[in-house]
Amino acid sequence: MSRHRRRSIARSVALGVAAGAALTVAPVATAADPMAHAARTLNITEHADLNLTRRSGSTLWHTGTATGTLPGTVSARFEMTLTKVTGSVTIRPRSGGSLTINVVGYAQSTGVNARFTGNMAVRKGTGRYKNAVGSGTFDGTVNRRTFDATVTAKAKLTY
Amino acid sequence: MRMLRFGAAMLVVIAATPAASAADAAQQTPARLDVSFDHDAKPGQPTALNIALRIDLRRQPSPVTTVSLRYPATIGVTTSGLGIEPCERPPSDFEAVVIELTSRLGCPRNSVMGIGTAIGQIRMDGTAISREVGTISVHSGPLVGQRLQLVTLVTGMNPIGARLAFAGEVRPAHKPYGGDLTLRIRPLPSSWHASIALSEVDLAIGSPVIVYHDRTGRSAVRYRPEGIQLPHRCPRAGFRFAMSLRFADGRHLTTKAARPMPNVRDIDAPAIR
Repeated sequence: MSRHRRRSIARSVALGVAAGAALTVAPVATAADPMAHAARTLNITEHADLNLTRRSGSTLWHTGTATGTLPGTVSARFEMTLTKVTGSVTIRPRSGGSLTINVVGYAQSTGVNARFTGNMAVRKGTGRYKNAVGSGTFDGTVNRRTFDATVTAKAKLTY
Repeated sequence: MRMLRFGAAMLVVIAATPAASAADAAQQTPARLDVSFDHDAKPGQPTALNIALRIDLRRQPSPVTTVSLRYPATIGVTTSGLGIEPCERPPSDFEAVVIELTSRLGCPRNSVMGIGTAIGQIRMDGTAISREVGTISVHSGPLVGQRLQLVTLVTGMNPIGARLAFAGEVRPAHKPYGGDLTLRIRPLPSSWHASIALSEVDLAIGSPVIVYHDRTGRSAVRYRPEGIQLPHRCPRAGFRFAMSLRFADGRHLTTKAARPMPNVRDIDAPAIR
């Protein structure tokens, strides 16, 4: 067998193996699709009690607990400029995974217990919430002596 | 007095000619503004923001009508413990300027954000007749839209005892600023046939001498509210301030300044125990 012929056969075998592998993989992938969970949509109502853990200039860090649809722990970082609050909140439900949410809120009153309201959107997730998307609203109060806060959030989450 | 110590002083000269050096400007311009933190200010700790305004009335006889201070976004005004109770004065107070002494303070004790002293010149029909010394207090007002209203009360001590009320506000500002603190000094109503021209103001926002009252059950607790919160890390470009003054004759002076906080080193933000 000429060298050219041997190379041609080798190439054909290689292509055949590759094609076979592709065919072998393809049914697995097809079979995997039904196993992938269908997108779920949840209407979430969460209540969080947040305690100040750190403060630096106009930045506040909180940790706390969440009760409601996804009970678990919460950590948050907020930037406060005058009456506007921006930041990110990470919820770690006891059932696993995590959700990181961007928030933008505005103060609605002054006083020791200042009210605020705002909007939020899911930025990223891990575990079962890896591909989560969603948005919602929140309102709450912050104690301006301790900067502890309570927040109630309502959102629609698809994951 | 602690609030008058201007360690870590940041000299900000209101310059009519932006290209002029600070030294030249200080000699040429009729107004000067010094902004500083407390002499013992540390990163991550609360401090007072000391504002000292000097206006040379011989060179700038027209009264100042607006003082505006844009402060850096990195310092925590909202995250301070200041102004936790709003002072709500009727709009007629700001129109009348001179108000009745209905109470010792005139506003809730827990609304005080800054205190200091002011010196002005009272002029009758354009002629200076006396140099008035008084105390000044800046109070947190209600929220209107996304603007925090301010109430400034000036109480004359010598030779004329009168209380003056001026409106102001803190409004959002574009980065790198976190807010724009504006005090409006309205002229006296024409019925007074007089005008007041401020020549000196020393104001300490978050002064350590401010005392708040907190009621827990039947007992009242006195405490010092935390002042302006400094970040744990000083911004690389320093704390940037911008200031402007408007005068009754239409003149407008403005400048910007940025200075690092001296004699401090950056430290990591420790957790609150």
